[in-house]
Amino acid sequence: MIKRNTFLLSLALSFMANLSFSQGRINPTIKGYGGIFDAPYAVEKPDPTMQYNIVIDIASNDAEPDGIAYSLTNVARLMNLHAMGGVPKENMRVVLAIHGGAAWSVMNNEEYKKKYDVDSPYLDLFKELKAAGVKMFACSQSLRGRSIDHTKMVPEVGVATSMLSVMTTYQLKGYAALKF
Amino acid sequence: MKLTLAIVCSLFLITQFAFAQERNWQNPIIKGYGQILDLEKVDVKPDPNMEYKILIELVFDMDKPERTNFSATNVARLINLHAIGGVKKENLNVAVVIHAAATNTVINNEAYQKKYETDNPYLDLYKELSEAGVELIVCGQSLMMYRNDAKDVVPQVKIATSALTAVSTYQLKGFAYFKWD
Repeated sequence: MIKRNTFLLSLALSFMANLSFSQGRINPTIKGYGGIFDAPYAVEKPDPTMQYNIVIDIASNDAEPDGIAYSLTNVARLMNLHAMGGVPKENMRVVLAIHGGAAWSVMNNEEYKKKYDVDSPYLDLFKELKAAGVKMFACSQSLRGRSIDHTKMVPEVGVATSMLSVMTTYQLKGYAALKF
Repeated sequence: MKLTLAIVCSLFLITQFAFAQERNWQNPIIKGYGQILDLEKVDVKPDPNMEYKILIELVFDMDKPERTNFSATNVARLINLHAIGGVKKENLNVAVVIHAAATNTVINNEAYQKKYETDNPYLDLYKELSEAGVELIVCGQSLMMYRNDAKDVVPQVKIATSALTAVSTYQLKGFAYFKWD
């Protein structure tokens, strides 16, 4: 009986903690992913009059096949953080160079299922990022290296010559460069 | 045998002495941290006519909270190196964005003591950097994630919307970018 009470109590407590945790987060641009904390006390904010051209090297994949790599969730965070900081949506111009272990994420659902026996957890995220204007490219070299069929990718992601050429080209065009 | 030993010992002493003499350690701007070598022969130097806008992202681990991490003191080295290379202090415009585990370095001594049971070794470093004109910025998101109170942040450090927004903004303003873990 005591055990059961303790169990119920801890269940209720963890529920409350979760609730207050998720209540603290907001998703101004990408609704389904990358929740962030509002920071009304911040004095160092993005400049809402600037054009935010950002190119991101997406390489790491730390997730199990049924989960989403943090590197891609972090793109949703980046979009939400700039919006929360006051940057208008139309000032965001974000380009992704997806390669290395993260390249597996761009397979369409059929291919993903064939490889991992689970539905791709990335489909909605790619849709939301595309709808927010994020340009996404997979490195052709990484695709070849993993025998990922470029005709069987999610429709939101295009193929680039390589990650390296995307990073050099966009940086030289004045994009800020990040690596996730 | 004794003679050989004596010769080896004296040779060793002589080389050590010469070595120590050759090494001319300097701290042109940040006095307490980041000493660097003044070299006689240098071919590639910074350009003293340029403005050096530099952004450094600090994301080091807190495995030794009782002493400063090299990446943090390396900011002092960077400043001293540019100075010794001929860049004027007023041409150095350095911003440091602190986030992830390194976030805990920006809290006052009392809050730091509570977390690590040791004094905060970063306080003097941040004071000196701030006095030299370095902009110190901490990620507002990381402050929350690492359960810090905004009012515990030391006065030299400004709170940003996030590290990601600060890094994108400063890069787009033309700052050269380093990330040190």
